[in-house]
Amino acid sequence: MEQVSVAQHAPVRESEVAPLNLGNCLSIALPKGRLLQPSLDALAEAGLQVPSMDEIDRRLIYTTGDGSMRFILARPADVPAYVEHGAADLGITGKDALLEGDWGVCELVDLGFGRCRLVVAALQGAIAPDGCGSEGAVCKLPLPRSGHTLRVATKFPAIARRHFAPKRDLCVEIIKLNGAVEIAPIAGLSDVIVDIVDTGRTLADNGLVPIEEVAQLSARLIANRASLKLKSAVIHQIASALCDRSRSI
Amino acid sequence: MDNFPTWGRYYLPADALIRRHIESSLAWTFEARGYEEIVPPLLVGLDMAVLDSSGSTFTNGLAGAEKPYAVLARDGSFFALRSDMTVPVAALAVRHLLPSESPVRLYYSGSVFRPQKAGNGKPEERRQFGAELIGTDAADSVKADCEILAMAAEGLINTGVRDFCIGLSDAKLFLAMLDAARVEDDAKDAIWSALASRDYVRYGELVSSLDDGGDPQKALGIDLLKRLLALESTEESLDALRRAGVCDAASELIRILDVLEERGLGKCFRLDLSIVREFRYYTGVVFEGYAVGCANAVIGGGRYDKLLARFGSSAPAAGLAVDVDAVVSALQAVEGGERRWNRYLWPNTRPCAKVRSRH
Repeated sequence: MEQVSVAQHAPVRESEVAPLNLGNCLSIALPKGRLLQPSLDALAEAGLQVPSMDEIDRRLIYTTGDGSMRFILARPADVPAYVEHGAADLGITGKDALLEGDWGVCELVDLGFGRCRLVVAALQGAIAPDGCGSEGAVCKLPLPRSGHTLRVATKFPAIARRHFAPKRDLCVEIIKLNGAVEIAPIAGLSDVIVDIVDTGRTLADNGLVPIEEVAQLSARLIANRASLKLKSAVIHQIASALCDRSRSI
Repeated sequence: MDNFPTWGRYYLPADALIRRHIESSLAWTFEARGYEEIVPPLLVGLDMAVLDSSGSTFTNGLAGAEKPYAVLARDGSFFALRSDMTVPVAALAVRHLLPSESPVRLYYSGSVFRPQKAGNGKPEERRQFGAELIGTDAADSVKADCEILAMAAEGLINTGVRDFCIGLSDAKLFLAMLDAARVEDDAKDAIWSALASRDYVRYGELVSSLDDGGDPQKALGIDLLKRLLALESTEESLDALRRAGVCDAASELIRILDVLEERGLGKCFRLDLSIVREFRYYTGVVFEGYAVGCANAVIGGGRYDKLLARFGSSAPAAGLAVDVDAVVSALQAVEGGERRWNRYLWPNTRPCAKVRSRH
């Protein structure tokens, strides 16, 4: 989901360094990777002056000419940290990042783009009972062989732990991976995976089928708690414009 | 400290200086109003750390307070490192200081310990400075609330925080709003926890799914719930409450806001109906204040009339707590936004002189 940019970054100028986010400048943390372009589009449609994709990718921090806006580029999973600590007033990130960390941020708007599902998936025929293996089907995860621990590989250990916690009949071991989770069952590292499914192609290519849905995901607008109170007028204006836009999608 | 063999927190000289300045300014404010200092113990009984009420375990709702640090004493009994000071202070007050002819006014300062998730960057040991007004007559509750709120605003102003806003609400108010919209009990819990966890997307979904069934009164209540987060000014909020017919529950708040306005503190406060603190021990006014330069609330508190019954006698009470570390970052923002490690760069020497003479 995340792509690491290898572009050369312009050196950060002294004037762009500010340890605290002060005054009238509104700063927005944007997610690197596939959510970046739709995020910029949404903000532009909400009436904000946004940098171009190339510009933000090159600079990582971009301040508008009049100094009223500042955009910070961060990995999607890091966006809530910028917002929680007030380095950014607003942020855009996937619901998966919000679910995985226990963040003290306000979740304002479901932006409507970046929709996908978080599922438990297994190798075809390995675990799914008859008739339940079809694409999109949601069914009960059956007990593995008795005396056998179900090994789960995932980029989202906290979500996986919470998902399996109520399933008292399952003994689960969670293995945290940082990417390419879909090869774990093939390589024999785990029995199932908990991962994001967009079109289902990657899963299918690796002979995996979704057997259980964990959550529906989409991009969210989040806000710092203090900023929401202290800059409420401008934040509400942006939030309601984005909310109207996402309804029309 | 993540790179030093210690658990807890060092205050380096510049931080300690600002902290001392804040605490002495607050002590001065509270003492001027007749509050006396009390020093509660660091270790408290587990019943003071984790409160359990009406069959369901609940906590005082502060982040991390639900999992206090437990300490094994020499005799094999468990104690908790305090995660909150209101409970130990108020518990002592009802046992030993009440009944007295006049209400008890106490203030305190000290560290509280709240576990944080790993890598969060927030210290688990935090300085708190607070005051409690215990044992006022029920008839005087508005007066007592005004005293606490005025002291909250004055305390922040005296520390040097200028740009702040304290949001006010009433713990009964959200329940009244849910009742006005005739929300079913199951849905109430879900709506409440969505709002308390600040998941406004989920809150919006839940509220939009409510059906008025053609009842105009119910429709007004649901409309209020839908608009709740968009209400900004005090007037707008009051108008919305009036239209939904839940103004009775807000009558005390309106009187409090009037008194604060008269005292010239009106600009520090606003009605904020979205405040649903996870605190379940609050029974009346609740408030939380935010200052420019700090990402967390700098002050919070409210009225907790039923809390003391569990520690002996029952007494109405209200209090406030200032997060000293949050005020430190707000003050650093006031001074230009740089972290000043050199105390000679700290321009305001006046409070320092005041501190020396006091201690």
